[in-house]
Amino acid sequence: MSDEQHDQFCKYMRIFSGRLVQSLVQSRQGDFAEQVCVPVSQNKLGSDWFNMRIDEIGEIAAHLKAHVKSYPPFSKLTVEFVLYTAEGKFLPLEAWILRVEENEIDDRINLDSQYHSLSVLLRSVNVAARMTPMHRLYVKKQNSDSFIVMYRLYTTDGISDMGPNARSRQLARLPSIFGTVYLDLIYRTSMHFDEAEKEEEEQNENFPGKPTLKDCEPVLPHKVKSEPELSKKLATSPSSPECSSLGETPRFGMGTSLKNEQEKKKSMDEIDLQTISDFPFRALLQSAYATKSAENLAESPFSPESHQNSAAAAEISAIPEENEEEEKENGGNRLQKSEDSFIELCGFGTSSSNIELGELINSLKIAPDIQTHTISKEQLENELAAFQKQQDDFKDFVEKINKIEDF
Amino acid sequence: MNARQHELRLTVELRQVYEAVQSIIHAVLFHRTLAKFAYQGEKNFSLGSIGIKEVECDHIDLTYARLNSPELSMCVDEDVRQFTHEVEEASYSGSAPRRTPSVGSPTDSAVPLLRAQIGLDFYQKTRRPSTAFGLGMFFGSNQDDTNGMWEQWKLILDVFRVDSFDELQKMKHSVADSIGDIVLNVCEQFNQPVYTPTMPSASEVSNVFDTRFSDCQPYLFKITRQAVPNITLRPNFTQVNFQRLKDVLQI
Repeated sequence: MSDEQHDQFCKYMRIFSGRLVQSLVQSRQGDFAEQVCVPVSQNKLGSDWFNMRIDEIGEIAAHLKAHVKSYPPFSKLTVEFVLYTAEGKFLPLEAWILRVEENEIDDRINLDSQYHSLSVLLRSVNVAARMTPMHRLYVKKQNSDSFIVMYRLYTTDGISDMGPNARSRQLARLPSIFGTVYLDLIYRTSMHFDEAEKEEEEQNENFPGKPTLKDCEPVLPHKVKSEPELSKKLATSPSSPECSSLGETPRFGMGTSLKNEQEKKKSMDEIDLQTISDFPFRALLQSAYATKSAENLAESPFSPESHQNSAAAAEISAIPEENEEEEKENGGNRLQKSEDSFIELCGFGTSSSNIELGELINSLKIAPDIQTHTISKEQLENELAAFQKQQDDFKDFVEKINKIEDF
Repeated sequence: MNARQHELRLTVELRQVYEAVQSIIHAVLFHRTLAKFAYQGEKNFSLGSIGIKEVECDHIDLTYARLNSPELSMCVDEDVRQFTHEVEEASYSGSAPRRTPSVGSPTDSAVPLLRAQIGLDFYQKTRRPSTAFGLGMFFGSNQDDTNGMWEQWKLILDVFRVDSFDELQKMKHSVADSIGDIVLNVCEQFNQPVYTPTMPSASEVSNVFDTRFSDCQPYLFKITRQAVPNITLRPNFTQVNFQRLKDVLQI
């Protein structure tokens, strides 16, 4: 056995490892594989190793290159398949372990015979990969809404626990002058989640060099990329805080409760006040108010004096002012009646200011001319004092509204 | 030569016979087929590449892989369809003797029909020299192709019939599990250090390989069907002695 032959054997094993990973991952993609047989003339040198036509998918090759630095016979290679559900659970399903025992030598089998044996083994892999429970149960039915199949590659010892009733098979034992090639398959037969996650954590503690579940690669990366939520989930470990936030159930905003009849009626009355103030011919109503009783109308928060000089305020100025003294005397809700008016209007809330809502809104709509508006310090002080007096009334009003909303 | 013999047993429903046999025979043939040879001279040759094709079963919850050679597939299909037809005929006509099933019934109300057998034999042609005393021709010592049998696969089917849809669904999954186990066992057998015929020279390639197909080259094989098991008869005196003399002369 020369060094050249040994190097050639190592090269065969490295390439075989790549073909093994490609065959296994592609068989789990769920597509119906179909490759034609080609004669020698079309088999370009180096393109169809082991005389078998297998596509070389770049993503798989890149993942292999990134995660596997050493190939058999220098180390063992494990290809592990894991089921990942939409709930964020992982379930190890299968492990394929390729290794070479260099101390088990058979002088009768040379390099060419070993190459032929490896080509038969590659065919076995393609056949056997479709005969496991995982392929029958999950591969053709995976999608990003329910579950997907993922895989990881590593060269360290220790595989994930495949649960009770796991089955182990020695698919290949190929002795040669360079050592014996073994291919083992361990697969799960009991598909339960409970113990798998705990065992995975324990396994990771025992084998620090083993890639974690977040290092798994989906067998269908192009489908996962089209689902941003799923790809975001896969980017984080299940135990990470990011993942826990992703796993939160949506919070449903509850609508307001239905009001009881009385509260409904009250709110309707309040709405009616506002609508009344906006109805047509309200000017007539206003004029009726103006002639009847100037004292009964609440003082506008805006000083009527400031509106006198503006043309826009002409309408408001027609509204009689209310003295503060009158306001204090009256207080509370006052039912304003006009003998000439055919509409009975109620005071708004419990404010003692006797300000009608419609008029307030109208006054707010008509902004005073700033240039003509002069506010003296005394006026401001008076207005502030008036606001402070009305503050308690306002608070009561707010509490009342809040109580209505709580219902 | 002592042939290496493998016996596989499977319980199927009548409608599953065709697909079950196809999946197992193709699994075996896939390992015993090489890419098409191209000889450069008498002893040097190079190989093309083979491809696979996935086939989905209708009556079994299974997808299997076979060699993607339409010619080989047609050749196998002919024998398997004939076998399936014979099994169905024997079941419907009742010509097959009812038997007490040696295996458990797969479902509660499955009715046992018959036990059928299909085999896949790999052989190579050997040329025997003329026998001593010139008796070879008299006893018909023309070249017997099956003398060079080196591997034999025998698939024994226990065929049942179920009437309900639920039971058929149940059998779809159970038979798929069984076929999966069988094929994994087959794969284990192929990847052990076992005998295969040595690569022949250009002039002798047809003694080892079946060269009929344009895109692949399987080892010489033959499919043997036995849909209805024959009752074995005891040979008479003449037949016993004739066979003994034949064996002696072939030594």
